[in-house]
Amino acid sequence: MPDFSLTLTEASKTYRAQSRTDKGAVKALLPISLRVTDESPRVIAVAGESGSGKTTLASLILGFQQPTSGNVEFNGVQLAKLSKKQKSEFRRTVQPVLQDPFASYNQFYKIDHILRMPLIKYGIAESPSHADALIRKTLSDVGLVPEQTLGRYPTQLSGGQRQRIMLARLLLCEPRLIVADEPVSMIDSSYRAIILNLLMKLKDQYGISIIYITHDVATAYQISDEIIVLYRGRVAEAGQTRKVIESPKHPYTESLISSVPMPDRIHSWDSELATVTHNLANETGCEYTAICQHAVAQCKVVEPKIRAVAGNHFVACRLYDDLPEAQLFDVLKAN
Amino acid sequence: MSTELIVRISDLSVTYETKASTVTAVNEVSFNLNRGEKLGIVGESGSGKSTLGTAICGLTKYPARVTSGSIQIGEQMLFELPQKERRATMLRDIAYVPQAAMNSLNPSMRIRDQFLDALSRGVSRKDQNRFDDIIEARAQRVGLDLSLLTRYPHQLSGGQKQRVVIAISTILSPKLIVADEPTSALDVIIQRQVLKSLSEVQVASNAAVVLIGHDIGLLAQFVDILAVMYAGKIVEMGALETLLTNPKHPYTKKLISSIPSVLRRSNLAGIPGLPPSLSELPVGCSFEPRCEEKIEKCSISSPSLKVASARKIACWLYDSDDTSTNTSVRVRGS
Amino acid sequence: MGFGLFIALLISVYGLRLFYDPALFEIGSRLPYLPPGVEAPLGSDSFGRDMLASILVGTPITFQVGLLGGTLGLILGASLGLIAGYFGGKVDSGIRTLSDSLITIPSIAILLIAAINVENLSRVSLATIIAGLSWMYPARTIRAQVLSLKNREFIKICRANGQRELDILFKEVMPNLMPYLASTYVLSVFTTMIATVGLESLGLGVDDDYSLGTILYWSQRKAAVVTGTWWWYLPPIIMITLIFISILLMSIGLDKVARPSDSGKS
Repeated sequence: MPDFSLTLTEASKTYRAQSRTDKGAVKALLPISLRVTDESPRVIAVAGESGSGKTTLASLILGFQQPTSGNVEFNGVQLAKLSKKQKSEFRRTVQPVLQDPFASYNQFYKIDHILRMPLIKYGIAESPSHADALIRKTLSDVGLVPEQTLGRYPTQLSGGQRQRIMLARLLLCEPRLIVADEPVSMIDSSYRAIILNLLMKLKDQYGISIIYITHDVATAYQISDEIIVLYRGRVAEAGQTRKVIESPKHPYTESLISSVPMPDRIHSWDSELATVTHNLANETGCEYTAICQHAVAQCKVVEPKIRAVAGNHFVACRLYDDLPEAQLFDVLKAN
Repeated sequence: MSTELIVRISDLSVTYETKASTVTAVNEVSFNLNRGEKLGIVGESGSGKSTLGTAICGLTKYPARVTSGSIQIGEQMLFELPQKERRATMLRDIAYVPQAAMNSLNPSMRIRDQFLDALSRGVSRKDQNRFDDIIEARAQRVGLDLSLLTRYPHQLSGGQKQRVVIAISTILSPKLIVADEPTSALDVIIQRQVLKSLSEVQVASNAAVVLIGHDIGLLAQFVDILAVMYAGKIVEMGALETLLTNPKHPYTKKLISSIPSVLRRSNLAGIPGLPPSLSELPVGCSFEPRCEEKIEKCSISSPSLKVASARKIACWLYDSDDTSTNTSVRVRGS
Repeated sequence: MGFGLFIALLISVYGLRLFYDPALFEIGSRLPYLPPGVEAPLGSDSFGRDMLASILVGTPITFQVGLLGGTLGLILGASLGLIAGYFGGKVDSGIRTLSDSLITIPSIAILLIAAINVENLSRVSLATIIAGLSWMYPARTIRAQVLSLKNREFIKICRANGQRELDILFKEVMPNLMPYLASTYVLSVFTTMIATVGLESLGLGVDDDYSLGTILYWSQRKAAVVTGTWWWYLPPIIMITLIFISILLMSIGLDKVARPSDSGKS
């Protein structure tokens, strides 16, 4: 029995129409199942573009929103039913890293505030001096010099430094799962590696699992063990990262990969691309139908089921209807 | 490619005057562009690339100030022109597409009307139909469906809005287009479309383009010449393929190797340290504190941009004493 | 700048009291209808009250009521605004409905009715009545700010840090509201003062209180305009104007602090 588990069972999120101009309910995330335990810490990437549902997924896992259907369970208990103590435990164990290194801070306080708070609230430090020592050590662990960072306001530090302080804060909480929602997209490219390498170090050193949410397929490929590709709320493809990226099966995954601008593929974008009209939403069937090269009449009506290409590679597309069906849980079995 | 000179930037410097200090955001930058040439300026935040972008278009505003150098557009020296003519030249010959340009669309005007606005100041209602053909042609050129013309900006997606902005700002067929991060905040697949739109516009008018960004991979899909900017200076500039396959400046090398690949897994590499604050530049080469190939000279004085190995580079490692800046070999961008 | 003026006014009023006997405002302390001159710097009114002394006495009273009313109005309004904004849902709807309906009621009418009908109107009760009719404005402003702050990213981090909702409200959201609280406070004091002066000049102010508005009332009753005793109504008017200007300037200044214009470069 694992000490820690976070499970999504067919969790979905639908937003009701907000205003008269919206047609109806928006299915932000279709039922998805996912399971993370401390038995095998891994980096799971959730790749998708805007509207894919990846941020919604992050909100559900972090408990910032409730699923419309299905369950999100922490150590076997539904998030909505956690006791006060369990809720505190949950908040401590599942930690976020957010996209905007500026907005993550309360500008009113120095950065010390955000580091001291969890030590007090979770009772991790026994005394102020203990807290100080912990903070100093953790800052060094993430590669920062305490003297140069403590006592400063967020505006006095760079985006990269702020993100690292966020990682320090998170470490102080002693989490088991980190949900990183686009943690480096607002940071200079030369600095990203530092943050991402830090995340991986946390996994190796402390056994923390990481859910890395991004639109950048390249970094997802570099650091994750498993990947889930989302398109408009649906899982298009999922499985071991190497397999999915090196031999993609879903037309969307292929398109996503070939659209990554690489310096060793100069001017490779000259080929024609279908124009996307985002306002056309399919009410039934596969969401990718409108743009898909392989779309047939069936795609508009029948929802693609998740099928197993191999033990650790799954795809949801009618092209693979001959393959056996699979449950998403199977996707994320330890390798 | 014709050899008509479109823009010549000579020793351009732009400084910001703050109460605390004077910051040199752009430090003696020079380059030329002919018709149809596409230059990419790549740099990280704090490199001065956006300031350079506005300066090229003559749009430098307080608290920034052009403190030296000149800008030549076509035959005209921009700063020597009287105010009125300068504005006219800018409006006619230069198109500037700023960052997050999609936000500059008027939310209460239909798209077609915004096109009209750009084409005709004070034209009476009945004459407006004359412009329909032009508007439709321009919209189609950037790949927009004509039905979008009757809509309002909030009904369009980010990528569509960006393409509208590109179409509107280039409606008078400018000679020079300067676009600062035109695809930031857009999805990867949409980025492709927007750059394609920009390409269509460029090809149609054979304009010179300056594309500013932080993503070399992205720029590589579009430009022919690449300039790498660091702490306000251009540190390396030359033909795209040359720089990508054989980068010489240590910063360029690091920048390229820090790009995560989608083709093979390897260790992610970054550049240790932080770019210097523009108000506290180190003595000597600005990159020296983070450089792994530095020599003694690097901490003493700052190298200037010189021709070497079929490109321009500002690095002591490649500074040969017989630097002849008037070499017969024309390096792209010089 | 507004602060400076206000402080200057405060100092001058309280300071002068040291040098000039305020008791001179009593009826009969001077010969009546003296124009401004050596004997009485600002002249005297029909009751023989020294005008300068009157100003010295009246101003602090006006201040007091204004500050009291303003404070009450702010405390009430800001609290309701905070609660409505942060907790949302039914609480928010309830408070908003209350606020919106009260705003539509013409406060002048209520004030008049209240002032006329309340026996032994004291400074405190006057201030309370005014506060009860003006809290809606601070409430709205504060609520709007809280709404925008509530969804900021850093709030999520606070939750991840183990902070509970009330803790977040007071420790994290409130400090960011300081500039708004300050400027709203100043405006609150402002509206209270206007209301009191208005009431007083109609003779409906606090009984037995001799404030600036009261001076105006008496000047009207005694037809000072007709009799040409401009030194009776002009000093209080100037004083009131100065106070208002200083308050407005203060609120503009505080507004700038709350919303410094953006001049970021990328």
